[in-house]
Amino acid sequence: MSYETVIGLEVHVELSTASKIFCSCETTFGGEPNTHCCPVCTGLPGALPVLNEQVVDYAIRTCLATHCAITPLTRFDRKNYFYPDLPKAYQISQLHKPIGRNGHLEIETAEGLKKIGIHEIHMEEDAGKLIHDPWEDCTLVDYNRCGVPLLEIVSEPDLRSAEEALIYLEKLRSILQFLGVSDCRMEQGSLRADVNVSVRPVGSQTFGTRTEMKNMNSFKAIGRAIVAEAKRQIDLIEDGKTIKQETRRWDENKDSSFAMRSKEDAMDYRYFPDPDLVAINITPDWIERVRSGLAELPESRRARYIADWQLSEYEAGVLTTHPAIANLFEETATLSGRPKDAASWMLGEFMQAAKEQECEPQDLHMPAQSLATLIARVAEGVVNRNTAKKIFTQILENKVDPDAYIEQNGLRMVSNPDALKDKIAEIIAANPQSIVDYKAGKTKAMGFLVGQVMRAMQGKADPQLLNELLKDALDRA
Amino acid sequence: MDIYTLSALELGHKIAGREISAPEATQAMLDRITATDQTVKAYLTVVPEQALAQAALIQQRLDNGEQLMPLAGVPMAIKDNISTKGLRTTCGSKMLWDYVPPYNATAADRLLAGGAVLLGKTNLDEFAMGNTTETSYGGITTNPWASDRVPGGSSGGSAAAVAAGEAVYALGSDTGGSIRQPASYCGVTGLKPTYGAVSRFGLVAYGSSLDQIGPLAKTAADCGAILAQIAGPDSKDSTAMPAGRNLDTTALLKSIEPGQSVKGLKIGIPAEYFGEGLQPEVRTAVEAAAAQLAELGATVEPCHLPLVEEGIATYYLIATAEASANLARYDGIQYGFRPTGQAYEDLADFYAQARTEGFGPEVRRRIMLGTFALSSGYYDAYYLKALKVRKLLQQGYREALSRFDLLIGPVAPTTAPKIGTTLSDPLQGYLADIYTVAANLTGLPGLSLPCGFDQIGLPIGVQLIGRAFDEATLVRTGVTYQEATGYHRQSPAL
Repeated sequence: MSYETVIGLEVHVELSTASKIFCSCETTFGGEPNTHCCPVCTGLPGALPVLNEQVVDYAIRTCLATHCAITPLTRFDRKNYFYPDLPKAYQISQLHKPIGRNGHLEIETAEGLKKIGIHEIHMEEDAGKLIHDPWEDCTLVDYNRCGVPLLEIVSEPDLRSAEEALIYLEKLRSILQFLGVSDCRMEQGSLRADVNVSVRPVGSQTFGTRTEMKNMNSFKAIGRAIVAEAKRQIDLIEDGKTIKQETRRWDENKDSSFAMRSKEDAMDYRYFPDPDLVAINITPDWIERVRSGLAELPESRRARYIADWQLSEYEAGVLTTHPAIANLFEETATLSGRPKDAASWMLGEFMQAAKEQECEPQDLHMPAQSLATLIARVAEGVVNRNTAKKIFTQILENKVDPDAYIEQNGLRMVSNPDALKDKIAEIIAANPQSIVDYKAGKTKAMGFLVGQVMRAMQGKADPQLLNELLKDALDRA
Repeated sequence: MDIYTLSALELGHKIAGREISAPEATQAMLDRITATDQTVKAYLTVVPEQALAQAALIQQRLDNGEQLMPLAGVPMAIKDNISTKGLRTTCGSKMLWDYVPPYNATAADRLLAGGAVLLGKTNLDEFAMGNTTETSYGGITTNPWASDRVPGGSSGGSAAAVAAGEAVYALGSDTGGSIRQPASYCGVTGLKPTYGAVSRFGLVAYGSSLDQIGPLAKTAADCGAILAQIAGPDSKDSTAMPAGRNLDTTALLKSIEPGQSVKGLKIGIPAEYFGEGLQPEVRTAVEAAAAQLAELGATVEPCHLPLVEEGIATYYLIATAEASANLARYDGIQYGFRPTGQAYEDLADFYAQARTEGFGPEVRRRIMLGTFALSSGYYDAYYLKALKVRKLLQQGYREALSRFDLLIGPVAPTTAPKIGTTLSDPLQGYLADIYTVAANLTGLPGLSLPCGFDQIGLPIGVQLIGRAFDEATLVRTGVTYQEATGYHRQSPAL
C-alpha cells in the first residue's frame, strides 16, 4: 500500500522588539545570566504584567501577511504548569481569543502553487533556560529569556512531505524577516518548531494518529525527523501495530526519535483568562496604521526585480532570501544605475565571500555606496574586473573606500597602447615556444601570454586592449 | 488627650499646625503598641527605629515648607500582603516568612511619598484567605473589644490595630470582604474601593479580578483622604483604570469636608440582605442606621437584588481558581520556603514538599478547590458557570444602582465569633461572607461603618454599596452619618 504523510507545524518565533512582552527588560540574546530581568519577568509576589503594544503591532503585521482574520477583542490566558524555568508557574499565552485565525500561505512546490492553511497565530511569553552544571551536578536557571515575546504560528495539517514542510518553513521565515518582526536565528533559538506527523493510505479522507516532536531548531533536522517518523509509523502499520498518540524527541545524533510522554500523561494546563491583563481592542484604525507601514514582501520584490530590472527568476529568488540582501542589492542597483551588474556581484562575489567566511550573507559588512562605486569604476574602465574583486575583498575585510584605495595603490587600469606594446614585446621575446604554439593553432598559448603580460603589469592592463595588441603582435611575429 | 485616640485627619491637622510633631506622634503610637499589642497581636513586624527616623525626616520636610499630603506625619500600618521595599512581607505564611520585597506596592509608595510614617506590617489570614485572621503562620490576632473573639479577616491585623489605637489608620486588602468585615467586627471604618481605583501593583495576589487595596481608619473622612492619596492610574497595573475613568479625587476630597448632607440621596435596602441567619441585634442596628439616614434627609426604600446566596459559591469558585494560579509561583525554586536537609525523589516531589510544608491547611484547601474548578472536564460546569453568574450579578446590581444612589445592608450576619469556632467549620465560615462578596464580584465600592453594639458589647457594622468610581457619595454619606452618631468614637477598654 502506498501512504501519504500529513504534517502540521507549530512555529514559535521570538519577536525582535527591544523590550519584553510584559515589562521593560531588554530582549537581547546572550548577556550574563539573570541580568535582563526584573520583578515582573521573574514573577515576584505582587508584580503585574503590562502589555508591550509593539508586540501587538508585530503580531498584526504577521496576521496581515498570512491573511489571518484579526480578533477585535483579543485576550491573554494563563497556561498553568510547574517547571523551574517558568517563574510564575504559568505562561501568559492565548487560547480562547488568539490574535489571528484562518489564514494561509502560498508555497511553490514541484506540483505548482499550494495553499497551506494557518489555523491560528497567538502571542505568548517565552520561558527561561535551564543550564545543567555537570561539575557541581546541579541545574541553574537563567531568567534572561523569560518574557521575551513569542508568536506561535499554527499551520493546518496541510503539508504532505518533508520537502513541503521545509518550503513552508523557509517561506514563513523569509516573510517574518521581511516584515521585520523577527531575525529568525535558529541557532539562537529564535525560531523553533513543533512538528506533528501522521500517515494514512493514499486516498483516505481521515487522519491517522499523530505524534509530535517538540522544540526542533534546525530545518535540516525537521526534514530528517519527518522522513524518519513517517517511516516509523508506516512500519508499525505494516506490522499490524497501532500508532500511539505521543510526544517524541528527535535525537539528531542517532537520527531517530524516542517517546517522551503519551497522551494519557498529557498535562492539563487549566487555561483561563488572565485577570491581570485587560482585553486588547484592536480597532480597524490600528490595523490600517500597521497595514500602511507594512514592509514590501519578498514575492512582490521578486516580481519587481524581474519586471523592472530584467533579472532572471533565479537571480531574483536568491536576492530576496533575506531583507538585508534585498536591501543591499536594491540600494546598490539604484546608486550605480546598473542593476544587472549589482545582481551579478551579489550572486557571485558577495555569496562566495559569505561561504568563505562561513557566515550568513546578511551578516557581511558591505556598504551599498562602496559596492555601487566599485561597479561604476569597472564600467568606466577605471579598474578591470579582476582588480575590482580584490578591492571588493578589501571593502569587506578592511572597510576601505574603493576610490581612495584605487588611488593609494595605483590600481588604475593601464590603457596606454605604448606602455602595453613595450611589455608585450618583452614577454614575446622571453617566450619563443609560445609563438610556435600559437602559430600551430594552439589558442591556449594566447591565454598564457595574456596572463604573463597581466602579471608583469600587476593586473592593471586593460584586458580588451591587451588582447587586441597581443594578437596583433603575434600575427606579425 | 491621648494621641492614639485622634483620627488621621485630626492628627494630620495638628502636625501641620505644629501642635504635635511627627516624631512625637510616632513615639506615642509606638508606646501604645508596646502597651497593648501583647494582647491584640495585630502586628507581624514593628519597625520603631525606621518609623522614628522617617518621622524625623518628614518633620524636617514639613519645617522646610514642603507641600505634603494632609496626612503627612501620621503613623500608620500596612497589611502584610502589600509589598514594602526592604521590609519583609510575609503574607502570614511560612512560605514567605523571610521574603523581603525589592519594591514598594504603588499604594504604599504613594502614601510614603506623601509623608506617611510606617509603623509596621499587620497580621492577616494566610495569603488573605480567611475571615478571622486565625490562619496566619504568625499566630492569631485578637479582637480589641474581647480577647476571646476574632478580629475578622483577612485584614484583621489592620482593623485591630486601628481599633486598639496601635495605628492611626491602616491599609488592608479586600477580595471578598477582607476590609469591610474586620472593620465591622472591630468597630472601625473600612472602605473597599471600586475595582481599578487603586493599583494592585505590589499587592500579593489572591483573586486578581477581585482584589483591591483600601483604607481602614477611625472615620469615613479619614478613609476618603487616604483613598484620594492612593487612587489613580498606574503604568504598572493595566487593570488600574486610566485617568478619566478613575475616581474623581476632587469630588472625593470635597466629600470629607464637614457639613455634608445626604438630602435627596436615594438609598435601596435589599430584602435579600436580611435573610436567615442574621443576628437579630445586627438587623436592628442596621435598620436603625437606615432610619438615621432617612432622618438626615435620604430616601430609603426597600428593593430586591438577585443571586445574593449564589454569590458565595460564585465567589469561592472564581477566587480559588485565580488563587490556584496566583500561588503556583511559590514553588521553593526562586525564593520562599524550600525544604532543607530532606531528600526528594524528583522535581515533582520537591514541589510537593515545598508547597505542603510552606502553605497552611486553608491555603492548600483553596488551591485544591481552584485547581479542580479549572480542570479539564470541570471548567465549564464550575469556573465558566461562575463567570456567567458573576455577569448576572453585575447586571442586577447595575440595575438596582440605576434606581438608587446607594444600597444599605449589614456587613456580616453576626458580630465577631469566638476564636476557634470558624476554623472547626470552614464551610460555615465561607457563608459568613454572604453580604460582602457581591461588591467584589461586581467591582463596586463598599463602605463599612460602625453602627452599634450587640448585647455583649461587640461592634456591629453597616455596609453601604455605591456606584462604580462614586466613592465620593459613599464617603459623603459616611461623614454625614458619623457627624450624627457616635459609634465610631467608641474605643475598646484595653
